[in-house]
Amino acid sequence: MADRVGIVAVAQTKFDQKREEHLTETLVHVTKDVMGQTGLEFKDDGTGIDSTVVASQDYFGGPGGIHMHYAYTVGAYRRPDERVEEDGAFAVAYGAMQILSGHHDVVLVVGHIKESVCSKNQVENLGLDHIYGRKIGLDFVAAAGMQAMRYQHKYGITPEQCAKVVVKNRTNGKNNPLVMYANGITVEDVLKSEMVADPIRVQEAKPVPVDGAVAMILACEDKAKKLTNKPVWITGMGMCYDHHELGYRDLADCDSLVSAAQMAYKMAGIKEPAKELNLAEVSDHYAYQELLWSEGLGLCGKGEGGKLIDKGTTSMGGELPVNPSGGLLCGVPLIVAGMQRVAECVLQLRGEAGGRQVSGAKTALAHGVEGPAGQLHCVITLEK
Amino acid sequence: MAKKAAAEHLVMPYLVSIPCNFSAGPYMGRLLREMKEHKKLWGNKCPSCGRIMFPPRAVCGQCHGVEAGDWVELSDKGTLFAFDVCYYPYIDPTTGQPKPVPWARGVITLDGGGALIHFIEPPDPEKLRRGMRVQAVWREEGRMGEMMDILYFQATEEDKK
Ligand SMILES: [Zn+2]
Repeated sequence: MADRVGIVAVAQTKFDQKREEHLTETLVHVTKDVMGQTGLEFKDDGTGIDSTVVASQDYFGGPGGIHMHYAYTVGAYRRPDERVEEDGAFAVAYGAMQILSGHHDVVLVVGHIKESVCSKNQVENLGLDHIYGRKIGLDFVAAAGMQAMRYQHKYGITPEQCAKVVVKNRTNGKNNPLVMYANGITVEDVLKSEMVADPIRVQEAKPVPVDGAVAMILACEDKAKKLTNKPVWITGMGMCYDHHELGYRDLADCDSLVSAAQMAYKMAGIKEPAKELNLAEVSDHYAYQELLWSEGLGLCGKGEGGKLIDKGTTSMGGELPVNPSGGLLCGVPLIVAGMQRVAECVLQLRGEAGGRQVSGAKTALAHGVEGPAGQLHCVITLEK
Repeated sequence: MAKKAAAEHLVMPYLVSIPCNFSAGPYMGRLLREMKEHKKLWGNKCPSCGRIMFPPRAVCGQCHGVEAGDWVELSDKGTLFAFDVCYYPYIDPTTGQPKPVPWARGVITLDGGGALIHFIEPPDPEKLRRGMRVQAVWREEGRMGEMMDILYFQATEEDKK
């Protein structure tokens, strides 16, 4: 078995609306970038990239069939090529497992989506059970609304505390040249914005539609050290699924995230995540989620997500900055979302995060989520 | 022994339908526009291995990511490389209507490079043969910029002789 998996290069597109591009043009751009950084190409003799894992979502290919264009476009024609139809953080974990198993040494991992192709809500509706969920028009926004309501009720989390997450992340995002929705919004602006799914207001939801892609190259320890003088190591990984049906869960808690995080911490030898981590990139599809997921990740106690934002712990300059990049609330596509959390952690640990750099960052956590009301989570811990 | 009555199945019709748009981009986009406006097929050439790519693409997959080079106008005549005649009922995905059986489709190697797959008429196994010369029959009115702007391929006059 290989010792450690290193991330040796990352590339991101700008996150905007790419109506003039077929997805292949987006993929060419981002994969040429990441391959250029390492000088690697796909090879079948062990001297290049051995394999690839790609995360996307079929419905966002337009009339379907999004994965068929992938392999030839990135140069993986007649190479091992695995596809993931869920959040991109899972693709990173599967890529790392290919290396940890000893099956491959160097893996290209890509996440890409064009949300502008069709209605995200309608696709999410298809993600629900066709007998119990679809016909009542449930989608992930409606599910999140129920979860936010239940979370606020059970733990006394206030609308102001959720709005503060938006203000923090949109401010952080001003230092991220790749996002479109960073701004100087105030708590008042957020709370006056249109209600979408009570208590979630439009400014508390990830902007839609946004198109984009992320690519990264993972390598086994000895190759990673040769490919870059700034490898970022994956120290822990955990994944866990909860019940699909919302009625089987108390939505105010996120038990599957607790399990995923504990799995990752155990692997990484992390005992006190709030103290040992220098930053976290958490999937804030909705503002309340950053607070609830922080609890699940053990960055604070159960029901203490509100206090965490009130104390400024998670702000830039706080003890544990969360989403220095601006997070998903600044506009990152679904699927790409979790992989982009990993990419941002890599930039931070390489000291290449520009104006959003957390000084002296040595350890980081990336989180991806998928499914209604946070059904499945993926937690990846990293160090330089 | 008394026979147990078979339970009646519950039936729930359910249609999945999502409106979507699609960006063809500069490569596929140019081909489809040429088909719609000029009844012409275009491909592009890999500067590394020299092969003609149809459909045109941003990169040559076989040369592992080499970016596409020059545009090449392709012929709408070619040679039937492979074909089959099918006899099972077939719902045309563009109309939802049944298509009369039998029907034939084939891989056509275009003169000068490139290959595509299309309907071959008539779907008569006695008349179709590998290597026969075929040519596109274009839709004269109402072309949309899609592969069905070609109705089908049929034997060329020279081949019929
Ligand atoms: Zn080539």
